[in-house]
Amino acid sequence: MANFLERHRIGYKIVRESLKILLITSIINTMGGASIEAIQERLFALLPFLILLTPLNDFVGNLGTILASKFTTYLYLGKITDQHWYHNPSMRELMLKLMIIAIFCGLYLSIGAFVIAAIKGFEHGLLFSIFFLLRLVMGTLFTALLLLLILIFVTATFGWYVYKKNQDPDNFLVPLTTSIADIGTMVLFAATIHFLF
Amino acid sequence: MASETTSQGEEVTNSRANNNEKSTLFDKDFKEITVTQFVSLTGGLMAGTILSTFSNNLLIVPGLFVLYPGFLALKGEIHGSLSARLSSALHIGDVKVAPLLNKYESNKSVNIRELSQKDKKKTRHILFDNIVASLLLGVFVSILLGIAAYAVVYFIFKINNPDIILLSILAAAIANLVMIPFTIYSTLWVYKHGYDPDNIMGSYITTVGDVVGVLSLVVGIVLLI
Repeated sequence: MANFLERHRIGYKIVRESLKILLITSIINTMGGASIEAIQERLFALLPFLILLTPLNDFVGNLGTILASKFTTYLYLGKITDQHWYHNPSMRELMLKLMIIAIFCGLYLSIGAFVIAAIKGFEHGLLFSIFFLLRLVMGTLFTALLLLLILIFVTATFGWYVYKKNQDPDNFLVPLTTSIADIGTMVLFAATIHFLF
Repeated sequence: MASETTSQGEEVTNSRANNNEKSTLFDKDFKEITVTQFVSLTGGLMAGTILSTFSNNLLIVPGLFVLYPGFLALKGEIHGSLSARLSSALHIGDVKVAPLLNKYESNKSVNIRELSQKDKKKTRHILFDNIVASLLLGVFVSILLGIAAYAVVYFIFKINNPDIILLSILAAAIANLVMIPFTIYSTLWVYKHGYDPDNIMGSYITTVGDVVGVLSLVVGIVLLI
C-alpha cells in the first residue's frame, strides 16, 4: 500500500489537498440549496426564474473568481500598496469594469431567460409580461450588484490581510469568494422571488 | 484649511486621472471578460432551458434543489481544478504534447516532433494520477453531497428521501465519466493549438459542465425511477 501511494503520490496529493475544501464547499452549497428548495413551488410556476437559476449562480461565482485573481495580481504588481484600497485608481477601475459587466450580463440573462420562457409557453398577456420582465431585471441586477459589492469588500479586506501575513491570497480568496457567491446567490435569489413575486 | 485645499486638489487630480482612465475602461481586459462571461452565460441559459424542459422529472425527487447547487459546483471544483493542474503541468513541461507541425515543417520527418519514451511515460503517469484522483474526488464528494442533502431535506423539510443519496452518486458518476475525458482532451488540444488553457478552459468548462450536469441529473432520475 505504501509502495502504491509512493508510486502515485501525485494523485494521492491531489485527493489529500482537495478533499477538505471540497467537503466544506459542498456543505455550504447544500445550505444554499435549502433556500431554493423552500421556494421550489414558485420556482416551477415562474419559468424564467427556473431558467435563470443555473446561469446566475455561475455568473456571480465567475465575477468572484475574476475579482480575487485580479486583486491578487494587483497586490503582487505593487498597484495596491496600502489597506485603503477604495482610494486606489486600479481598484476603482476594476470595480467599475465589473459593475458595468454585471449590468450587461444581468440584462442579457434576465431578458434571455424571459424570452426562452415565453417561447416555451410562459405568457400571460402584454401588461403582465412587461411588469414581470421589469421585476425580473430588477431582481437579477439587485442580486448581482449587491453580491458584487459584498465580494469586493471581502476580497479587498481579507486579501490585504492574507497578503500582509506573507501568504498567497489566491489560495484563500478564490474558494472564499466562490463560496460566498454560491450561497449568496441562492439566498438572495430565493429572497427576491419571495418578496417580488 | 490647508488639508481641505489638498483634499480638493487630490479630488481634482483624481477626477482628471479618472477622465484619462476612461479610455482604458473598455480595454482588452474588459472585452475578454465580457466575451467569456457571455459564452459562459449562454451555456448556463441552455442548461436552465434543459432543466425547465424536464421539470416534471425533477418534481418527482423531493429535495432535488438542495442537491442542485452543490452538484453543479462540482464542475468547477473537480473539472476546473483538473484543467488548471494540467495547464500548469503543460506550462512547466511536466506534461508534454507533440506540437502540431507548422507549414514549413510539413515536409520534414514527423519523428523530429515526436516525444521521447521518457516524456511519454511521465505524461501518461501524471494523466493517470489526475484521472484517478478526479474520479475518487467525484465519488467522495458526491457521497457527502448526497448525505448532506438527505440530512437537510429530512431535518428541515421533514421528508425522508434516501434516494437523493443514490441520485447524487449516480449523476456525479455519469457527469464525471463524460467531463473528465472531455476536460483532459480539450486542455491538451487547446495547448497543442497554441492557446493558453488558463484563459480559455474556465468558461469553457462552466459552459459544457452546466449542460452535462443537468443532463446527468435527468438521466440519473430516469434510471432511478
